[in-house]
Amino acid sequence: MKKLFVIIAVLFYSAAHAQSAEVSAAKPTLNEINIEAIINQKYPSCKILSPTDLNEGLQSYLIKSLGHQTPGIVPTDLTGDGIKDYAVLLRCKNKKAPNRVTEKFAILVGKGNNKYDWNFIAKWEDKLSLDNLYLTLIEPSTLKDVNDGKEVQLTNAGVELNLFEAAARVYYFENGKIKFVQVSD
Amino acid sequence: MLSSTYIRITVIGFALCFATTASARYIESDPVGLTADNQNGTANHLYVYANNNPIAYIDPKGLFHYKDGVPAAGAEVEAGLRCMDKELGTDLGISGGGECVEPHNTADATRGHCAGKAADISDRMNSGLIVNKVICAAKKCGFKYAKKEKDHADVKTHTDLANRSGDISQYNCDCSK
Repeated sequence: MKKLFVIIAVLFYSAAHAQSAEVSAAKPTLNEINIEAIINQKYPSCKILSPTDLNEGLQSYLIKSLGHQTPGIVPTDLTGDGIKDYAVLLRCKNKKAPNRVTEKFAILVGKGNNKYDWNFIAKWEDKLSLDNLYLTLIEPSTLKDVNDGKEVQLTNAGVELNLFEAAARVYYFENGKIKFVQVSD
Repeated sequence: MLSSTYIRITVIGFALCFATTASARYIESDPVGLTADNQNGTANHLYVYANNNPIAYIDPKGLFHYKDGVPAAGAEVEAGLRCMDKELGTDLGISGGGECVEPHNTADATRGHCAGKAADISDRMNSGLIVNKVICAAKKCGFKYAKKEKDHADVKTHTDLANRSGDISQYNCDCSK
């Protein structure tokens, strides 16, 4: 009987250890730690979405298929002014209802000297969105809108907001304004 | 003695519970029936629940199954999906249905997901299925739009006249491939 317990304990420990190894590999870089501190200062109840917030199917897809593990942040120059901007998915706790979580998509436009203009674009509370949203970087390219068939030329990088296996939009800047192309629906 | 008995009962209980959860079977067969496609290794089983993954998927009607958190699509789409489920001989995994959230197109409440007139058929949840067969099945089952997108196939009960690329009537359907 004791042997059985030892075997079960070893199996649980191995599973937990494997999980923590994956999570530790997803630690953000120095720049992201800096932006995380800025976010924490402005919105203490919010954190950048991490891989462990997502369902197992999406975690596996992100690691194996896309080879990246930062689903909640895309650091890049979206506006083309030479200053780094950040697209982020934030998980925010509700102060009045601690069990409720809201997810928010925001683009922080860099102004230099660690100053940012905050642009909140969308928010979600449903389970499907909370488990399945992630961001990816889109290099300058030509994209086609699935709804109206129109082509859009991205002169700067864009950020793709994905609902895993369901829908995706690419957000980009044009003449200082945020626009999007529906690339999957 | 007492603690030994308690531990033994706990372990047996754990083992029984584990076996019951892992079996994940209906006690009656799937009403779609047996139309297995053994050539692709995607044979269905009449007593399998939610593609043998009851934690991640739900299958309230014992037919195709939705991913956890996905609201049901409208009646016309569900009828089409039931038909596709039978046509493809598999327990079809649906990753998008009646949800009306961004990044879906939420601007038009009369079409697409916001109107319950669309569904997304996940590549990952339907491993082994060939895109051509999915689109052919969609055409046979009355869908008007079908298109392969990034990580899923999108089916709709209407076409978008401004963009004919997913118009299923224009799809040259060779169901043997």
